Amino acid sequence: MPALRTIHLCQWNFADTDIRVVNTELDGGTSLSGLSENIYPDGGGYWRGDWTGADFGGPGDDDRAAVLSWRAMQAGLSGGVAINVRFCDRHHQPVYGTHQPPSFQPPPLTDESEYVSIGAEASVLSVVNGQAGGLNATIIDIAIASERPLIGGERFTYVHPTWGERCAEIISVEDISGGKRVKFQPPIRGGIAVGDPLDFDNPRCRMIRASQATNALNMGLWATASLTMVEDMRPPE
Amino acid sequence: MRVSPLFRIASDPPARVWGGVNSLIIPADSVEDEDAVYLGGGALVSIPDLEQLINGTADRIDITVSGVAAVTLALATEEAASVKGAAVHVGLAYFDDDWQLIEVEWLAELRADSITTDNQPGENGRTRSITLSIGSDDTDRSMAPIASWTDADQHRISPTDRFFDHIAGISAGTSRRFGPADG
Repeated sequence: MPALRTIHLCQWNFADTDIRVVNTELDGGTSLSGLSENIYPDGGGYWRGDWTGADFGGPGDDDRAAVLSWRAMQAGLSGGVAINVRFCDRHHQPVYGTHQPPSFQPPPLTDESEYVSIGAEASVLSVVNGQAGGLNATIIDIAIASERPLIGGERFTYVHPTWGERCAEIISVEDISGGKRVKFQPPIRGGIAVGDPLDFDNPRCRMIRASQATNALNMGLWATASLTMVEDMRPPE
Repeated sequence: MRVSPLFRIASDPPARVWGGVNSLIIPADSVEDEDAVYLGGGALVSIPDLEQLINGTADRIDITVSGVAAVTLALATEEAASVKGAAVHVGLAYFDDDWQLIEVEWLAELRADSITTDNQPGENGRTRSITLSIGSDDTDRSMAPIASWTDADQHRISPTDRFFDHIAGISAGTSRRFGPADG
Protein backbone atom coordinates (compact mmCIF):
# COMPACT_ATOMS: atom_id res chain seq x y z
CA MET A 1 0.00 0.00 0.00
CA PRO A 2 1.74 3.20 -1.10
CA ALA A 3 1.88 5.99 1.45
CA LEU A 4 0.57 9.43 0.74
CA ARG A 5 3.54 11.19 -0.87
CA THR A 6 2.32 13.94 -3.18
CA ILE A 7 -0.71 16.17 -3.23
CA HIS A 8 -2.00 18.23 -6.06
CA LEU A 9 -4.06 20.88 -4.35
CA CYS A 10 -5.71 22.39 -7.41
CA GLN A 11 -7.99 19.39 -7.65
CA TRP A 12 -10.06 21.05 -4.91
CA ASN A 13 -10.43 24.40 -6.72
CA PHE A 14 -9.34 26.78 -3.99
CA ALA A 15 -10.52 30.35 -4.45
CA ASP A 16 -7.38 31.78 -2.84
CA THR A 17 -3.92 30.36 -2.94
CA ASP A 18 -1.11 32.09 -1.09
CA ILE A 19 2.24 30.34 -1.30
CA ARG A 20 5.25 32.41 -0.27
CA VAL A 21 8.50 32.51 1.66
CA VAL A 22 7.94 34.02 5.10
CA ASN A 23 10.51 35.54 7.45
CA THR A 24 10.62 35.67 11.19
CA GLU A 25 10.96 39.31 12.23
CA LEU A 26 11.79 40.68 15.64
CA ASP A 27 11.46 44.31 16.61
CA GLY A 28 14.86 45.55 17.65
CA GLY A 29 13.44 48.36 19.77
CA THR A 30 13.11 52.08 19.12
CA SER A 31 15.95 54.51 19.80
CA LEU A 32 15.52 57.99 21.29
CA SER A 33 15.57 59.46 17.79
CA GLY A 34 12.59 57.33 16.87
CA LEU A 35 14.42 54.94 14.60
CA SER A 36 13.99 51.23 14.98
CA GLU A 37 15.68 48.32 13.36
CA ASN A 38 14.17 44.93 12.79
CA ILE A 39 16.12 41.76 13.41
CA TYR A 40 15.78 38.78 11.11
CA PRO A 41 16.98 35.69 12.96
CA ASP A 42 15.68 32.86 10.80
CA GLY A 43 18.51 32.46 8.31
CA GLY A 44 16.51 33.22 5.16
CA GLY A 45 12.90 32.24 5.67
CA TYR A 46 10.80 29.19 4.91
CA TRP A 47 7.86 28.27 2.71
CA ARG A 48 4.32 28.70 3.86
CA GLY A 49 1.12 28.09 1.93
CA ASP A 50 -2.46 29.07 2.72
CA TRP A 51 -5.21 27.62 0.62
CA THR A 52 -8.66 28.93 1.39
CA GLY A 53 -12.13 28.85 -0.02
CA ALA A 54 -12.19 25.46 -1.65
CA ASP A 55 -15.64 24.79 -2.99
CA PHE A 56 -16.36 21.23 -3.79
CA GLY A 57 -18.81 18.53 -2.94
CA GLY A 58 -21.99 18.96 -4.96
CA PRO A 59 -24.37 16.16 -5.83
CA GLY A 60 -22.28 14.92 -8.75
CA ASP A 61 -20.18 11.83 -8.64
CA ASP A 62 -16.98 13.79 -9.31
CA ASP A 63 -17.71 15.97 -6.33
CA ARG A 64 -18.26 12.95 -4.16
CA ALA A 65 -14.77 11.82 -5.12
CA ALA A 66 -13.39 15.27 -4.31
CA VAL A 67 -14.81 15.20 -0.81
CA LEU A 68 -13.55 11.71 -0.21
CA SER A 69 -10.07 12.48 -1.55
CA TRP A 70 -10.00 15.57 0.70
CA ARG A 71 -10.81 13.40 3.68
CA ALA A 72 -8.21 10.85 2.66
CA MET A 73 -5.61 13.58 2.35
CA GLN A 74 -6.44 15.10 5.73
CA ALA A 75 -6.23 11.68 7.34
CA GLY A 76 -2.92 11.05 5.62
CA LEU A 77 -1.45 14.34 6.86
CA SER A 78 -2.29 13.84 10.50
CA GLY A 79 0.49 13.44 13.00
CA GLY A 80 2.99 15.68 11.21
CA VAL A 81 3.41 13.58 8.07
CA ALA A 82 5.59 15.43 5.53
CA ILE A 83 4.39 15.49 1.95
CA ASN A 84 5.43 17.00 -1.38
CA VAL A 85 3.02 19.79 -2.22
CA ARG A 86 2.63 20.78 -5.88
CA PHE A 87 2.31 24.54 -6.22
CA CYS A 88 0.11 24.23 -9.33
CA ASP A 89 1.34 27.56 -10.69
CA ARG A 90 2.53 26.74 -14.18
CA HIS A 91 1.32 30.07 -15.53
CA HIS A 92 4.05 31.87 -13.59
CA GLN A 93 6.83 29.56 -14.67
CA PRO A 94 9.08 29.99 -17.74
CA VAL A 95 6.89 27.65 -19.82
CA TYR A 96 3.84 27.92 -22.01
CA GLY A 97 0.69 25.89 -21.76
CA THR A 98 -2.20 25.93 -19.38
CA HIS A 99 -2.31 23.79 -16.36
CA GLN A 100 -4.57 20.75 -16.38
CA PRO A 101 -5.55 19.35 -13.02
CA PRO A 102 -5.73 15.59 -13.01
CA SER A 103 -9.05 13.83 -12.92
CA PHE A 104 -10.59 12.85 -9.64
CA GLN A 105 -10.96 9.19 -10.45
CA PRO A 106 -9.14 7.53 -8.94
CA PRO A 107 -8.00 10.09 -6.32
CA PRO A 108 -4.53 10.94 -7.61
CA LEU A 109 -2.75 10.98 -4.29
CA THR A 110 -0.05 8.42 -4.85
CA ASP A 111 0.58 8.40 -8.58
CA GLU A 112 3.13 10.99 -9.69
CA SER A 113 3.01 10.06 -13.37
CA GLU A 114 0.12 12.44 -14.00
CA TYR A 115 2.22 15.46 -13.07
CA VAL A 116 5.23 14.89 -15.30
CA SER A 117 5.53 17.45 -18.08
CA ILE A 118 8.07 18.73 -20.57
CA GLY A 119 9.01 22.38 -20.51
CA ALA A 120 11.98 24.18 -19.03
CA GLU A 121 15.08 22.05 -18.70
CA ALA A 122 17.66 23.31 -16.22
CA SER A 123 20.65 22.15 -14.24
CA VAL A 124 23.28 23.57 -11.92
CA LEU A 125 26.47 24.88 -13.58
CA SER A 126 28.18 26.00 -10.40
CA VAL A 127 27.37 26.87 -6.83
CA VAL A 128 28.51 30.45 -6.17
CA ASN A 129 28.16 30.81 -2.42
CA GLY A 130 27.05 28.72 0.53
CA GLN A 131 28.70 26.30 2.92
CA ALA A 132 30.07 22.78 2.48
CA GLY A 133 28.14 20.90 -0.22
CA GLY A 134 26.14 23.97 -1.17
CA LEU A 135 24.26 24.15 2.12
CA ASN A 136 22.68 27.59 2.61
CA ALA A 137 23.69 28.76 -0.88
CA THR A 138 21.61 31.64 -2.25
CA ILE A 139 23.37 32.23 -5.59
CA ILE A 140 23.95 29.57 -8.24
CA ASP A 141 24.81 29.52 -11.93
CA ILE A 142 22.41 27.49 -14.02
CA ALA A 143 22.10 26.25 -17.57
CA ILE A 144 18.52 26.56 -18.75
CA ALA A 145 16.61 25.94 -21.97
CA SER A 146 13.15 27.33 -21.38
CA GLU A 147 10.17 28.29 -23.51
CA ARG A 148 10.02 31.71 -21.86
CA PRO A 149 12.97 33.74 -20.59
CA LEU A 150 13.74 33.87 -16.90
CA ILE A 151 12.84 37.28 -15.50
CA GLY A 152 12.85 36.66 -11.74
CA GLY A 153 10.02 35.51 -9.51
CA GLU A 154 9.99 32.01 -10.95
CA ARG A 155 10.31 29.04 -8.66
CA PHE A 156 12.29 25.87 -9.09
CA THR A 157 12.58 22.61 -7.22
CA TYR A 158 15.75 20.71 -6.43
CA VAL A 159 15.94 17.33 -4.79
CA HIS A 160 18.29 16.49 -1.95
CA PRO A 161 18.86 12.83 -0.98
CA THR A 162 17.71 13.31 2.61
CA TRP A 163 15.96 16.69 2.75
CA GLY A 164 13.81 15.70 -0.20
CA GLU A 165 12.10 18.01 -2.66
CA ARG A 166 12.65 21.69 -1.85
CA CYS A 167 11.69 24.86 -3.60
CA ALA A 168 13.42 28.20 -4.19
CA GLU A 169 12.12 31.49 -5.58
CA ILE A 170 14.32 33.56 -7.87
CA ILE A 171 15.13 37.10 -6.74
CA SER A 172 17.30 38.24 -9.65
CA VAL A 173 18.71 36.91 -12.90
CA GLU A 174 22.03 37.88 -14.48
CA ASP A 175 23.42 36.73 -17.83
CA ILE A 176 26.70 34.85 -17.74
CA SER A 177 28.45 32.91 -20.46
CA GLY A 178 26.67 29.61 -20.95
CA GLY A 179 23.76 30.32 -18.67
CA LYS A 180 22.29 32.50 -15.97
CA ARG A 181 23.38 33.49 -12.50
CA VAL A 182 20.35 33.45 -10.23
CA LYS A 183 19.91 34.69 -6.71
CA PHE A 184 17.06 33.15 -4.77
CA GLN A 185 15.40 32.56 -1.43
CA PRO A 186 15.20 30.62 0.85
CA PRO A 187 18.77 29.24 1.18
CA ILE A 188 19.47 25.71 -0.08
CA ARG A 189 18.38 22.96 2.29
CA GLY A 190 20.79 20.08 2.73
CA GLY A 191 22.99 20.91 -0.25
CA ILE A 192 23.21 21.14 -4.02
CA ALA A 193 25.87 20.04 -6.50
CA VAL A 194 27.03 20.83 -10.02
CA GLY A 195 24.86 18.94 -12.50
CA ASP A 196 21.83 18.63 -10.23
CA PRO A 197 18.60 19.05 -12.22
CA LEU A 198 16.32 21.98 -11.42
CA ASP A 199 12.63 21.55 -12.08
CA PHE A 200 10.93 24.72 -13.29
CA ASP A 201 7.91 22.86 -14.66
CA ASN A 202 6.49 21.64 -11.42
CA PRO A 203 7.60 23.64 -8.39
CA ARG A 204 6.89 21.70 -5.24
CA CYS A 205 8.08 21.56 -1.69
CA ARG A 206 8.14 19.16 1.22
CA MET A 207 5.65 20.51 3.73
CA ILE A 208 3.65 19.58 6.77
CA ARG A 209 0.17 20.66 7.76
CA ALA A 210 0.04 23.60 10.16
CA SER A 211 -3.73 23.90 10.46
CA GLN A 212 -6.26 21.63 12.02
CA ALA A 213 -8.16 19.27 9.75
CA THR A 214 -11.48 20.65 8.55
CA ASN A 215 -14.20 19.14 6.48
CA ALA A 216 -17.28 21.33 6.72
CA LEU A 217 -20.16 19.95 4.71
CA ASN A 218 -22.99 22.34 3.95
CA MET A 219 -26.43 20.69 3.89
CA GLY A 220 -24.64 17.39 3.80
CA LEU A 221 -23.50 17.96 0.24
CA TRP A 222 -21.44 21.05 -0.48
CA ALA A 223 -18.12 21.53 1.18
CA THR A 224 -15.82 24.41 1.86
CA ALA A 225 -12.33 23.88 3.12
CA SER A 226 -9.06 25.55 3.88
CA LEU A 227 -5.57 24.33 4.52
CA THR A 228 -2.29 25.77 5.80
CA MET A 229 1.02 24.07 5.18
CA VAL A 230 4.56 25.05 6.23
CA GLU A 231 7.88 23.77 4.98
CA ASP A 232 9.05 20.71 6.86
CA MET A 233 12.25 21.83 8.55
CA ARG A 234 12.75 18.87 10.83
CA PRO A 235 16.25 17.54 10.19
CA PRO A 236 16.10 14.26 8.27
CA GLU A 237 16.95 11.17 10.28
CA MET B 1 19.98 43.28 10.82
CA ARG B 2 20.49 39.62 10.21
CA VAL B 3 21.63 38.00 13.41
CA SER B 4 20.60 34.83 15.16
CA PRO B 5 21.38 33.17 18.49
CA LEU B 6 23.61 30.13 18.84
CA PHE B 7 23.33 27.72 21.68
CA ARG B 8 25.65 24.83 22.53
CA ILE B 9 25.51 22.36 25.43
CA ALA B 10 28.66 20.30 25.88
CA SER B 11 26.76 17.17 26.79
CA ASP B 12 27.71 13.88 25.19
CA PRO B 13 27.15 14.22 22.27
CA PRO B 14 26.98 18.03 22.28
CA ALA B 15 23.62 19.62 21.61
CA ARG B 16 23.84 22.43 19.04
CA VAL B 17 20.90 24.65 18.15
CA TRP B 18 20.61 28.02 16.44
CA GLY B 19 17.69 30.35 15.90
CA GLY B 20 17.16 29.82 12.17
CA VAL B 21 15.22 27.15 10.32
CA ASN B 22 17.88 25.39 8.27
CA SER B 23 21.03 23.56 9.34
CA LEU B 24 24.05 25.84 9.71
CA ILE B 25 27.74 24.94 9.71
CA ILE B 26 29.71 26.88 12.32
CA PRO B 27 33.43 26.91 11.46
CA ALA B 28 36.00 25.70 13.97
CA ASP B 29 36.91 28.32 16.56
CA SER B 30 37.69 28.60 20.25
CA VAL B 31 34.48 26.77 21.16
CA GLU B 32 34.22 24.20 18.37
CA ASP B 33 37.28 22.04 17.69
CA GLU B 34 36.13 21.41 14.15
CA ASP B 35 33.33 22.56 11.86
CA ALA B 36 30.03 21.68 13.47
CA VAL B 37 26.46 21.49 12.22
CA TYR B 38 23.93 23.46 14.22
CA LEU B 39 20.33 22.36 13.93
CA GLY B 40 17.70 24.95 13.17
CA GLY B 41 15.49 25.62 16.16
CA GLY B 42 13.21 27.88 14.15
CA ALA B 43 11.72 30.80 15.96
CA LEU B 44 11.42 28.59 18.98
CA VAL B 45 14.61 29.37 20.83
CA SER B 46 14.67 32.43 22.99
CA ILE B 47 17.67 33.52 24.94
CA PRO B 48 17.32 36.20 27.61
CA ASP B 49 19.71 39.03 28.39
CA LEU B 50 23.06 37.96 29.68
CA GLU B 51 24.75 39.84 32.48
CA GLN B 52 28.32 39.79 33.60
CA LEU B 53 29.41 38.62 37.02
CA ILE B 54 29.32 41.87 38.99
CA ASN B 55 29.63 42.54 42.68
CA GLY B 56 29.88 38.87 43.46
CA THR B 57 26.32 38.19 42.40
CA ALA B 58 26.01 35.96 39.41
CA ASP B 59 23.28 35.84 36.88
CA ARG B 60 21.01 32.86 36.53
CA ILE B 61 19.02 32.50 33.35
CA ASP B 62 16.53 30.11 31.90
CA ILE B 63 16.59 29.15 28.26
CA THR B 64 13.36 27.73 26.99
CA VAL B 65 12.63 25.82 23.82
CA SER B 66 8.95 25.37 23.12
CA GLY B 67 7.07 23.55 20.42
CA VAL B 68 9.11 20.47 21.14
CA ALA B 69 8.31 17.11 19.63
CA ALA B 70 7.18 14.42 22.03
CA VAL B 71 10.29 12.37 21.28
CA THR B 72 12.59 15.26 22.18
CA LEU B 73 10.70 15.82 25.38
CA ALA B 74 11.20 12.19 26.36
CA LEU B 75 14.91 12.47 25.57
CA ALA B 76 15.23 15.59 27.67
CA THR B 77 13.77 13.74 30.60
CA GLU B 78 16.05 10.76 30.14
CA GLU B 79 19.19 12.78 29.47
CA ALA B 80 18.63 15.32 32.22
CA ALA B 81 21.27 13.76 34.45
CA SER B 82 24.03 13.91 31.82
CA VAL B 83 23.39 17.57 31.09
CA LYS B 84 23.91 18.76 34.65
CA GLY B 85 27.25 20.49 34.95
CA ALA B 86 27.89 20.61 31.21
CA ALA B 87 29.36 23.78 29.74
CA VAL B 88 26.86 25.91 27.85
CA HIS B 89 27.98 28.42 25.23
CA VAL B 90 25.73 31.18 24.00
CA GLY B 91 26.64 33.22 20.95
CA LEU B 92 25.43 35.15 17.95
CA ALA B 93 25.78 34.40 14.26
CA TYR B 94 25.86 37.35 11.85
CA PHE B 95 24.77 37.11 8.21
CA ASP B 96 25.32 39.25 5.12
CA ASP B 97 22.73 40.35 2.55
CA ASP B 98 22.83 36.95 0.88
CA TRP B 99 22.29 35.11 4.16
CA GLN B 100 25.87 33.92 4.26
CA LEU B 101 27.51 33.52 7.65
CA ILE B 102 30.09 36.26 8.15
CA GLU B 103 30.92 36.14 11.84
CA VAL B 104 30.33 34.12 14.97
CA GLU B 105 30.54 35.88 18.29
CA TRP B 106 30.45 33.87 21.50
CA LEU B 107 28.93 35.90 24.28
CA ALA B 108 29.09 33.75 27.36
CA GLU B 109 30.18 30.45 28.79
CA LEU B 110 27.77 29.16 31.37
CA ARG B 111 27.14 26.00 33.31
CA ALA B 112 24.05 23.88 32.88
CA ASP B 113 22.17 23.22 36.04
CA SER B 114 18.91 21.43 35.57
CA ILE B 115 16.50 20.60 32.80
CA THR B 116 12.79 20.79 33.39
CA THR B 117 10.08 19.84 30.97
CA ASP B 118 6.58 21.13 30.69
CA ASN B 119 3.60 19.71 28.90
CA GLN B 120 0.39 21.75 29.04
CA PRO B 121 -2.91 21.21 27.29
CA GLY B 122 -4.17 24.24 25.40
CA GLU B 123 -6.78 25.29 22.88
CA ASN B 124 -4.70 24.18 19.91
CA GLY B 125 -3.45 20.93 21.37
CA ARG B 126 -0.67 20.41 23.86
CA THR B 127 2.19 22.83 24.29
CA ARG B 128 5.45 21.25 25.24
CA SER B 129 8.55 23.07 26.34
CA ILE B 130 11.98 22.30 27.72
CA THR B 131 13.66 24.76 30.06
CA LEU B 132 17.33 24.66 30.88
CA SER B 133 18.43 26.56 33.95
CA ILE B 134 22.01 27.76 33.69
CA GLY B 135 24.33 29.88 35.79
CA SER B 136 27.59 31.68 35.18
CA ASP B 137 30.56 29.38 35.05
CA ASP B 138 31.61 29.74 38.68
CA THR B 139 28.37 30.19 40.54
CA ASP B 140 27.11 28.21 43.47
CA ARG B 141 24.20 28.58 45.80
CA SER B 142 26.17 30.29 48.58
CA MET B 143 25.59 33.85 49.74
CA ALA B 144 27.35 36.54 47.79
CA PRO B 145 30.70 37.55 49.29
CA ILE B 146 31.18 41.16 50.33
CA ALA B 147 32.12 42.88 47.14
CA SER B 148 31.65 46.55 47.91
CA TRP B 149 33.41 48.34 50.75
CA THR B 150 31.83 50.48 53.40
CA ASP B 151 33.45 52.78 55.93
CA ALA B 152 32.58 50.29 58.67
CA ASP B 153 34.40 47.49 56.83
CA GLN B 154 37.51 49.61 56.57
CA HIS B 155 37.40 50.68 60.22
CA ARG B 156 37.27 47.04 61.27
CA ILE B 157 40.62 46.51 59.51
CA SER B 158 42.25 49.89 60.20
CA PRO B 159 40.35 51.82 62.90
CA THR B 160 42.09 55.12 62.16
CA ASP B 161 41.90 55.08 58.37
CA ARG B 162 39.43 57.68 57.10
CA PHE B 163 39.84 56.87 53.40
CA PHE B 164 36.25 55.60 53.07
CA ASP B 165 34.68 58.36 55.18
CA HIS B 166 32.48 59.70 52.43
CA ILE B 167 31.50 56.43 50.77
CA ALA B 168 27.98 56.63 52.14
CA GLY B 169 27.52 60.01 50.49
CA ILE B 170 28.58 58.90 47.06
CA SER B 171 25.80 57.82 44.82
CA ALA B 172 24.70 58.45 41.29
CA GLY B 173 23.91 62.10 40.66
CA THR B 174 25.80 63.47 43.67
CA SER B 175 28.43 66.20 43.13
CA ARG B 176 31.40 66.04 45.44
CA ARG B 177 33.78 68.82 45.94
CA PHE B 178 37.50 68.09 45.90
CA GLY B 179 40.50 70.24 46.78
CA PRO B 180 40.99 72.82 49.54
CA ALA B 181 37.98 74.78 50.70
CA ASP B 182 37.72 78.38 49.58
CA GLY B 183 39.13 80.97 51.99
